[in-house]
Amino acid sequence: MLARHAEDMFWAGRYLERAEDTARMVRATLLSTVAEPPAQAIDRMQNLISTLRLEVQAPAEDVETMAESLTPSPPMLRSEAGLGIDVQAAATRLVVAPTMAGSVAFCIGRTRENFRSLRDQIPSELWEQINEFHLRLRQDDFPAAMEQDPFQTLDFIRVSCQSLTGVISSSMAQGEGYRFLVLGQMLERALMTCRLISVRYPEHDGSSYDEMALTLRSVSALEAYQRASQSSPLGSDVARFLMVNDSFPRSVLYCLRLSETQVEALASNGRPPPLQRLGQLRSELEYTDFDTMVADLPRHLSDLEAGVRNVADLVSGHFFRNAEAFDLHSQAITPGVSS
Amino acid sequence: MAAMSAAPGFFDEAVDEDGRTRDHYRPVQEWFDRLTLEQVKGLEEQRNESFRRQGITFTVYGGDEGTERTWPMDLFPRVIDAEEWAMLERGLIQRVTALNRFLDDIYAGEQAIVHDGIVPRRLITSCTGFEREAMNVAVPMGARCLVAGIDLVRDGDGAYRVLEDNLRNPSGISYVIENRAAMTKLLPAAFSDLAVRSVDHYGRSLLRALRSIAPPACGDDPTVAVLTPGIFNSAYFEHAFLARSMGVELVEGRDLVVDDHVVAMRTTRGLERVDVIYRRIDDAFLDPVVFNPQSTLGVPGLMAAARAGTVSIANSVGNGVGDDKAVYAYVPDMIRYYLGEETIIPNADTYLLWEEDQRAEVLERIDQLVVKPVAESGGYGIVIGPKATDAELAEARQKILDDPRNWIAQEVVNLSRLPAWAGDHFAPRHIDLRPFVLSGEQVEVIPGGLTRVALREGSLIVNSSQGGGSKDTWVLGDSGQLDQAAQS
Repeated sequence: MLARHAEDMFWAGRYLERAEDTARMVRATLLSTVAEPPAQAIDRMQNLISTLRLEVQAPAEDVETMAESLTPSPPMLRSEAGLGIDVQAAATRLVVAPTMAGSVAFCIGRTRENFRSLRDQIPSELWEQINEFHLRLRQDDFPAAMEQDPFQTLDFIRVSCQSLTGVISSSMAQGEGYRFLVLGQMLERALMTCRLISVRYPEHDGSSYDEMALTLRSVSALEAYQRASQSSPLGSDVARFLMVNDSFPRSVLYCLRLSETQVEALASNGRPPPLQRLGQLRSELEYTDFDTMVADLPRHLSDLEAGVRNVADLVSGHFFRNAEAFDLHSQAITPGVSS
Repeated sequence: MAAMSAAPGFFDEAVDEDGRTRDHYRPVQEWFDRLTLEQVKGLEEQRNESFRRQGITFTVYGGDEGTERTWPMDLFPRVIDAEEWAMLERGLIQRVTALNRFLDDIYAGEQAIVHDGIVPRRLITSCTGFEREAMNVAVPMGARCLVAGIDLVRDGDGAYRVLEDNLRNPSGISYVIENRAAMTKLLPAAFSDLAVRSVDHYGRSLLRALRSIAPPACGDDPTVAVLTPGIFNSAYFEHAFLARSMGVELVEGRDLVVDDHVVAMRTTRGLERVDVIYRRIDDAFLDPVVFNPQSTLGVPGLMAAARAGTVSIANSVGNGVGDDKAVYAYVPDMIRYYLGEETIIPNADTYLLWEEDQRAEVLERIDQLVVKPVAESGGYGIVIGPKATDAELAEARQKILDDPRNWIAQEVVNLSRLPAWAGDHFAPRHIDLRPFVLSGEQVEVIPGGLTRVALREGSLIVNSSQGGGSKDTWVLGDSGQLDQAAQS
């Protein structure tokens, strides 16, 4: 497929995933703040914003906006997200602010833009869904709906994202484009889970069930965790579950495995750099004794995060920019075999 | 909803001179007569919602920025009966066949039509659309107008006339197909009553035509791509639509490279050869090496590759010489010259302004005529005499005197009328028709075409950027269903 289309597909996957993850985290955080005093609630919201403050590497035209709003200094984020007003207003900003990079509305707008340049590649049903979802988020009454009934609104967002993913898996041919999209989703999800653990983990030691529950609920993992482990959650247990559980679809290990599957299928021959790096990351995570890892969890998490970002770069270099590096006179052009 | 009464001077499509519904409109008229105001409003809402959801929009430039508006489709369809369509189809095939022969004669042939004194040489060489870069670039089967859009109107007597030919990048076919899809959902019952001919196969037909002009050396499975200026182009929706309906890649200039006269696209697996390009970029931006060097939309080296015969480009470069409005006046002569036939669908009456006697008459009657620049499309630069101010007329007069080759004049055509929704009732509005004609191994006309409608009362401007809308166009099949419906 066209390198440019593959790249758009990859970014559509990343933005879509990010929108859904953000909505889940905002929901879990708001739920925890319901019965809390304002000061504590604001700290909690700040904590969420730190989690969301990811350094996302984006294509050239995105770099400016993404860099501006996703890695600002904390005070900037405070005012940008509307902190100092109240927690609800901050949550609303994180969801509806159309120009704040990282807000749900922003991410869905970007997903739509990427799909827009892929109109000929994606099923019409998918375009209609993303278009409708995008328009709903931009409607005048949407911020008010989020203020008045945040949980219902956030559920609407989650369900809309899930139905997009449903349309993707049920009506899109599972060829190259599909694989780049899933790859983008999985790498973004792995990054989000890493960030969540690293921001939330320090609070875990000796902290309450409620704190554990919030962490797990932020990635919709509470029920799965409770089924997997009947014991009352310890901080390290939660981290273990979110990092190396091999059947929960939001654990880092699961995301890396699924990413590896995609790259394996995409690689036309051999083991290109992104596949090597993914294999390395995955096996380190899989075979390192977790108790050893937990002793220095922050370092492991930041290495893991850097590793995942590195994979994204290698994917870009290998699949999206390969034709630019071609020496035109030494490379044979594949005769008309359509992919 | 009340029936229309015929008005003098205009031809009414749906009713005759006595105000009776014409036979082929009877089922449609009866169907609409039964609808209440609320039902029509409900259908209007459904239609808007469906277009909005699907993102079927066009871009209006001007104001602060280009804004996306949903596509305005009027509910009341245009109906063309089988016999009438058969005549139009013959006329369109005849015209496009002659235009293909003409362009091939000029660019790759002996220019016989010039040598035989039918078309003056200076007329050809003075066309802004004439591209010397395209001389002697062969096009398989001479299918130079691979996609042609021929604008038809009906005069006061109801006779069809060709208003202009669009042989470069005619757009609008995606709306023909989307209009039909929308109408099928909105009025399913109407379709089950009538044998309306399908338009869905356009993508397949276009792909077949494009594959048929592939360079002979590339084997029997050529790779086709659609070349678009990108998502900010007002017709991007259509470009994506076409690529999707053909199942081929939609490429931008930056996706293509030319090496040693071979065109290839950058893919995730490296470079892959392209054999046929359906380009929706104007000649001037196609290849910065030979045309506009500032163009970033095009592909350096593309023309050289076309000349080497390793890639085919549709529509052919230089087709502007065929749809120049002064050349248009010669199309009936071309038909006689190349095909030995008389023109089936006549031109509108046209004055050539470098001919002294014609110019004198036009300058005399300019307030009664339409004056058009020869190389524009989309309604730009047109002066409609009866509606122009004295200052505008004086300016037009001066422009004609300064550069007579650049202008033509035509009698005002009283576009025919058809009911359209006017907020709370159906009222007569003026319409035209752009059928689409494909050239490949054979010349094929897609049944119907894009009917455009001037939604403002009395207006003759059908362009969507200026308050125009569209209508689904139903060509009835030969089956007896219509007769049964009309008799029951």
